[in-house]
Amino acid sequence: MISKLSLKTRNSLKGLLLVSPALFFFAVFVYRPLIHTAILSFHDWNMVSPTRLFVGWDNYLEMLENPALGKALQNSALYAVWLIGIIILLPILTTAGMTYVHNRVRKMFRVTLFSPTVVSLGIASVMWLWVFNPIGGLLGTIWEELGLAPLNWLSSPKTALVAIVIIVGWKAFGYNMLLLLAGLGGISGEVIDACKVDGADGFGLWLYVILPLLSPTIFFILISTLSMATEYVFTPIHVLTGGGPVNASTNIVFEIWRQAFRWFRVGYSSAIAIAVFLIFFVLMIFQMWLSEKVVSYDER
Amino acid sequence: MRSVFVRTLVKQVFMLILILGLAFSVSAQDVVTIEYWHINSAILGAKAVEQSVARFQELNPNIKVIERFQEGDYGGLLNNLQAAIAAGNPPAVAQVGYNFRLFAFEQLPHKLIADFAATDPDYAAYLESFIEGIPGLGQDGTGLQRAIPLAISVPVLYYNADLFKAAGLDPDQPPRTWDELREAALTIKRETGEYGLGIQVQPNNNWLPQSMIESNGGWILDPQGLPQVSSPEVVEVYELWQKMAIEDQSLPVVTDTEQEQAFMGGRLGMYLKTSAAMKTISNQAAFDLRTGPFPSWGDKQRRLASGGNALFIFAKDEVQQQAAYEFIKFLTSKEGQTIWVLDTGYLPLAQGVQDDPKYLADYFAENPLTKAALDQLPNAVAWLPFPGPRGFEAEQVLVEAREAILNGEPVQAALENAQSRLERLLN
Repeated sequence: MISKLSLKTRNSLKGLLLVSPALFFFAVFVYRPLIHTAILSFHDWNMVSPTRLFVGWDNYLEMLENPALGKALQNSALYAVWLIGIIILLPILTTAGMTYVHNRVRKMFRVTLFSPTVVSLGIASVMWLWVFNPIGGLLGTIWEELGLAPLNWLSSPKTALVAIVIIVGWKAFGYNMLLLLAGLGGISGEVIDACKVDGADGFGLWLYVILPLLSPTIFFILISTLSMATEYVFTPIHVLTGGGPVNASTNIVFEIWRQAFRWFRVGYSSAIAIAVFLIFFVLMIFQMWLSEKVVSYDER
Repeated sequence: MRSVFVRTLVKQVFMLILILGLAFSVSAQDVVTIEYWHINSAILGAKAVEQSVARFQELNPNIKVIERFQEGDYGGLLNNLQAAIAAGNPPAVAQVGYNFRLFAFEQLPHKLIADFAATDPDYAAYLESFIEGIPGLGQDGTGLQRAIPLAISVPVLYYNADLFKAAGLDPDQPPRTWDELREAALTIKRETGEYGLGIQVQPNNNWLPQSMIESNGGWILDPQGLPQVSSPEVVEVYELWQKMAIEDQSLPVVTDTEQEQAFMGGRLGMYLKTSAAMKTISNQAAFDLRTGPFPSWGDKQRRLASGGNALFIFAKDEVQQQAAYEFIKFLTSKEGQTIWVLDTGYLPLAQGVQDDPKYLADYFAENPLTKAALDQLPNAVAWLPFPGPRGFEAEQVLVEAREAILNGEPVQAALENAQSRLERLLN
């Protein structure tokens, strides 16, 4: 029976068979919930009531007049900008610096900087509470010794977001650095030597040779950082600030969670989730375009 | 040689499987397991929960209780509870904060306590074992017993007598009014450099502020359920609060966990906080800890929001419901209440247990710290629920107003903004 089919059809059947397990899980755990969320976004429902009230586009219209949502979107962008600085640019500089130190020192740095990665984020958040506490906390005490007025890190709208960034940055820094070091190790020594022979010096070598060769790694880190700015920051926000004070440290995922699981406005929360999905969809297309343009995956 | 080893190993593994299988089949038949959700973190009586569960299991070997702490106070517990109910997998027993009891009555499917009247010959006597009026906290408007109150706490003034002395204040005369309180806090700040006063703040409710507001004759929601947060009485409360934080710099603007750490570390003069934390604070404070009554506004009558929770049965299975009922009866029995009160600072709800030498009489006689809480029981009023489908969001409005005010926003404007948002949400 099968042998009667053309080779082409047989091959595509084979292919389908191979991707079907993955497709199945995607369908059950990604696409079905996505469709369900889209349906919920047109309803008013509190999750336990047996009836769901159809409300049309009301949930989407309400988004336009919710100041907390605007703040959450703005903060998500702010988180991304801060994290790009702390866990992409800084690790690149550190990695560059580490190529100039002795091997043994480098190993020590690597272990020290990597260790926060293995601490759970919830525990890290509680730990940082002791650091941030302006009364007797580590930073508070240093501030006092310097004769400065204590900063209410977690309770002031000016600093709450930065405090969350510091925690996530502290935790993710070492991991990204390790990825960069691995990427660096993958660059062939011959290429570097050839460039040196041709007269490339330290800075030029980095700018024109090493960074472009590292671009796939950097690009990967960039994508994971953007997802951190939306999802990963949730834990410290939840544990430490509750999105406050006055929404100063909230972000889009926290807002979606708060609407659904704190205030039980499941329909409205779904509408936000769908809107955010669309925003990220556009970003994803842009990212694919960018990766074609900028990232060089050519063989080394 | 090797094959002998393998054969022995196989034999042993078989034996193990056989024994385990037998053990499980026996236990599966006889033991019913129930889950108990609570908010009792380390500072709020985690040990009391552990002890109660252990003692209950000792008395009822056929019931196994799995206790699970829920993050985020009563709000956090309710969030998880609602999600668990939606998923069809609720805990058998859970604490519901008094501020959420109306919501739970109306929205969360639960097993009525009143249903046990038919099967429990001691039912009437059980309800009568409580202090008069207490079972009412678990009844709806028609007097139907839906839940059983477990705990009541009131806010008290904890203070560090060592810092009082260092500041030249009399540690035997704690401040009685808000004016005296502000003065004392300022003196502590000026004389010792440490902060004078912390006020318990939570990121998702207004439990302590309610006592401040109602004691000044104001309302968050008046008896008709209308928001009144921009009235002069409420403005006065938040203005004083803001002055202490910004003008006097005698009150730290920090999270409650940070204040807790600071107070127990001896770096905060006074702390207005739930009596439920009394045991932990007195265990950890390495200074001369004292307690006093919640301050009043001039000579106005104090009205203190009674914190605490009622126990609801959410189990769907009949056997579990029965086990849950037994567990609740134990927690609220004289013995259960004794374990509970000794390790927290909650007030006992079972009649006579506080004067009974077999139970808590010695504890109250020997422990002067508890007097402040016990003396204030007559001033206790209901913890305000925010009604309606958007009640949770409404509660957050006042939390945000507080955060804005403590960060310097003009009080009148912040509260007027809150008032109009509340009117919209509660409409």
